[in-house]
Amino acid sequence: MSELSSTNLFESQTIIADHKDLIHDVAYDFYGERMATCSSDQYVKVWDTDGQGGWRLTASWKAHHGSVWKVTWAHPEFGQVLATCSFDRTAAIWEEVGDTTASGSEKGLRTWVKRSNLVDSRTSVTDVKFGPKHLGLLLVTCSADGIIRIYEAPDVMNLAQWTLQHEIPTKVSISCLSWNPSLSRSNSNPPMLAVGSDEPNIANAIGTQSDKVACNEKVFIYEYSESSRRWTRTECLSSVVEPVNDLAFAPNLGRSFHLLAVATKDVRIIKIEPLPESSSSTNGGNVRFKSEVMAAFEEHCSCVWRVSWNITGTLLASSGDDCCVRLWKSEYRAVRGASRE
Amino acid sequence: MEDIQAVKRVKTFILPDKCFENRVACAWRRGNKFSIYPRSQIPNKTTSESDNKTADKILVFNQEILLFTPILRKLVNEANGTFLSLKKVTETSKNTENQVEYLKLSRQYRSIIRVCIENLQEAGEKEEDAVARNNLLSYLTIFYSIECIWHLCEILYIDIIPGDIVLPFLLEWVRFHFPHHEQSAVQLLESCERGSEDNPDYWDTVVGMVVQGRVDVARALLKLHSAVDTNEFKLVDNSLRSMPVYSVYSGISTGEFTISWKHWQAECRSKLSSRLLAHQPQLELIMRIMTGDYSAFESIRGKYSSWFDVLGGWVMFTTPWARRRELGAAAAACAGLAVGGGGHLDVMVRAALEGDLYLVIHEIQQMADNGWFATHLTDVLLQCGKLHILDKHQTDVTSRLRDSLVLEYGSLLLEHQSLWPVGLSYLASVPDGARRAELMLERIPIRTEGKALRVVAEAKKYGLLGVAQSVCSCMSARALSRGAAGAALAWGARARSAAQCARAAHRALRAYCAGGALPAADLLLTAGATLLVDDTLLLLGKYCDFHRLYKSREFKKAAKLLVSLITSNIAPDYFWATLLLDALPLLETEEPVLSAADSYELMLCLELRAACLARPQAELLRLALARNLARTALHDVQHD
Repeated sequence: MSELSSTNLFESQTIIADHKDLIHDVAYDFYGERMATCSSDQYVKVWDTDGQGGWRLTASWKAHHGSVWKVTWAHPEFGQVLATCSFDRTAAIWEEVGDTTASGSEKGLRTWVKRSNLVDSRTSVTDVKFGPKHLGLLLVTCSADGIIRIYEAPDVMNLAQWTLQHEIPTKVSISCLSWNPSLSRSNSNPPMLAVGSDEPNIANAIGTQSDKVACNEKVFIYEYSESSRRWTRTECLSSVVEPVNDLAFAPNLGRSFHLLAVATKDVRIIKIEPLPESSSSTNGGNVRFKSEVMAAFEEHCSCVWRVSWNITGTLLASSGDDCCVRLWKSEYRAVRGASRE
Repeated sequence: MEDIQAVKRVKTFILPDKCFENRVACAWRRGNKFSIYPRSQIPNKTTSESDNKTADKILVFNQEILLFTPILRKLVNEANGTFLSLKKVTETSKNTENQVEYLKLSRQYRSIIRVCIENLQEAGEKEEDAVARNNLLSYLTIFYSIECIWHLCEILYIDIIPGDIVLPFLLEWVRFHFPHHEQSAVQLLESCERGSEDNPDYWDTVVGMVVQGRVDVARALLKLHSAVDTNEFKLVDNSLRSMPVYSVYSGISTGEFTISWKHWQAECRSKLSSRLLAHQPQLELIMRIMTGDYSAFESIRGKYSSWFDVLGGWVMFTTPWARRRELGAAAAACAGLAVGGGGHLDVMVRAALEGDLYLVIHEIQQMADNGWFATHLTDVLLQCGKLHILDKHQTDVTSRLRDSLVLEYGSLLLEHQSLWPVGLSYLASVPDGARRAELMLERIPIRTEGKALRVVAEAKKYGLLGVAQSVCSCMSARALSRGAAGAALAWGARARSAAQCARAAHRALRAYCAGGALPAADLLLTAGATLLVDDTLLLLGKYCDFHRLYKSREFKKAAKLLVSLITSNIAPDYFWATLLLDALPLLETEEPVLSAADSYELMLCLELRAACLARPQAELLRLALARNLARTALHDVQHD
């Protein structure tokens, strides 16, 4: 009866990406039908499914003058648009031009045009993400010197024009960021960003913890206030004090709270629950949230590099130095893991 | 999500090749697909040779979904129908007990499973490829087990049993799922030869028939024995014949029945102890089975593949009056006969008999049917009011368990390129499903307009207007990027998206300025109120209308429209030249169509926007305006 028990067979397929150096990021488009890769070889490549389960390279170009850290897709409503960020201190917006629907095989490589180059950062740009669709065409970048920049394309027709809307200094090196995808347009859920810092903890080593403890926090929540038209830090997650390599908000399924997965020395799932407006003073903004570590998975036994949710936020994949990718499933009453190595 | 805890149920997969030396990263695609790739945060300026070999590989993973096998499609679709009718039944009869309907639907599920099994058998026989046949056989094993458990659960929890005496149903279950002995009995009876005991299966078959409660068949088989006329045979035949069988409709109470049955068994026992059957060990065995002798059951256990083959017999010869809830002891006794550890199915059967539905569901969740069984069975049991699962705080979590199973199952189906509407109907039936449906529906890859329209229609059906709008917007953006302004307009209008309409309208106007034709004129002329979502779209629509009027030589109306377009100031800069120059032929008509006031307005606009026009064109227009003004100064145009 061994066939009875679920074996969860996985098929795997290898793609030779042919990047000349390490791949730093793989991003799927909204539908999961296109894949973009970026690498230290300064190239970005775009792959399309061929409809039979295979992947075909449709574009490859030298995008930056340094390692390309991250690549990300805009919502397809804005067209076929990519953003990349790089060690060369810039972020770039790319748009695919020409016929994007003619079925591929008869067409050769497609052309991606650089629509804009965002050169405000003075250090390596470590992460780039498009904002939630309902906010318009927004882009946020963060850099190693700890500045978060939020850009907006006021005219979605014109991807060449991006205005730098906000510049938020954080004073610590920022490695990663994530938009809260919450769709609620109500005031209780203003636009929200989480950023993570990979700054090593020196304070502990020196031993002057007493006054330094506060600075060891690595995950910050920023929120946009419609009234003051500013982004402000509304929360530091005191539960994370080790360098953070990646973080990701789970898709919101109509919950009253937000779930944030953090890749640090372990995998953490943190529940961030907005407190009712009455219990927190709006001006002082001292306590906006109640945060709680819902799970800390230490199975990697080493540094965790990436966390990634599936579309519905029911599965979380994490990967770490132990050379394992683990899948965490939030079942009713349990989170279970499956790993591969 | 309440209490998250790490469960030690980890499956480890070894990657096909050891390509990742140290660091890996992962990215989700849709559904159960994701990819992993080697990565490092540290800029690697001096690429070593060893890195080169491993750095460029991306592994793409896909979970194999059994339910997506084409042969199981029917199962998925038909089960969906039953699921929806069950939902309807519960909605219409909130207060009344509706066991009959539930039973009918449970049977419907079982017949769906049966059809599926038959299809699999048929395909298995035809299949020539060994691997594919093996796959079909493993599916068969899964669905046999599902059928078996479903049937048992139906008897124990859904069926309406008169007097709650479960034995006849239990025997029926055993007969149905373990027909082996019945088949050989049929063969023996058909050949109808005296001296059938020479057949090596003879005694096993007789015993099997007794154990399955087929007393008449067992007696008929015994008649085929060459020594049927001996006293021993007559004795056993007599005992079998005189066994009391309970029936609620027989008019005797359970108490009376119990007394007569015990009396009968005591008689059998006394016959045994008088050693009348000592010369016929097989008959003695049958007699011992009839007296409910545990050691007799132990001795025949080896001939059966599982302990529940003999369950019916055990209950029949020990507690034939057992009620549904009283089968735990019998299950324990029979399971005790087992040699070695029990398999998956054993655990499930035993849990069902012991009334531990939580364990049953937990176990069936482990089956490789992607949650089909767990979802539908839980749903039926919950609607019947037979499922009560408490968490550790003693709160009833049954409906949440069911909802989470339905959610999972629905989400799974939404991943499929053609089963997605089925998945949607599942998600729509649970409270938290809408948001999930929204997330997934929006991401269904769309390759054709037809599919887009279907997604939009389904989204509207479930009130997911945001999805409908988003899909249309994306279609519009896609049409635009391939230069099809007309299609982009149509999709943008469907989406009622100002931004998309504006983009498409701008594209159309620019194309027209560059000498192209106006796209989708018929659409624009009938668009009506849709035009109001965006100024540029409005301009385009009205401009189309102007062209129509001009072509049908309704110059006065055309002129009026043109003037209103010019004076309303909604045209984008690049379109002013076109708009103003369109006034030229109207100024040159035989009969004036632009009034003096119109001419003044146009002159004003022309001076304000002179930069838009090339100098000679502006001069020409000025001249025409002046002449028209001269024509109309004395005798102005009468608008009708």
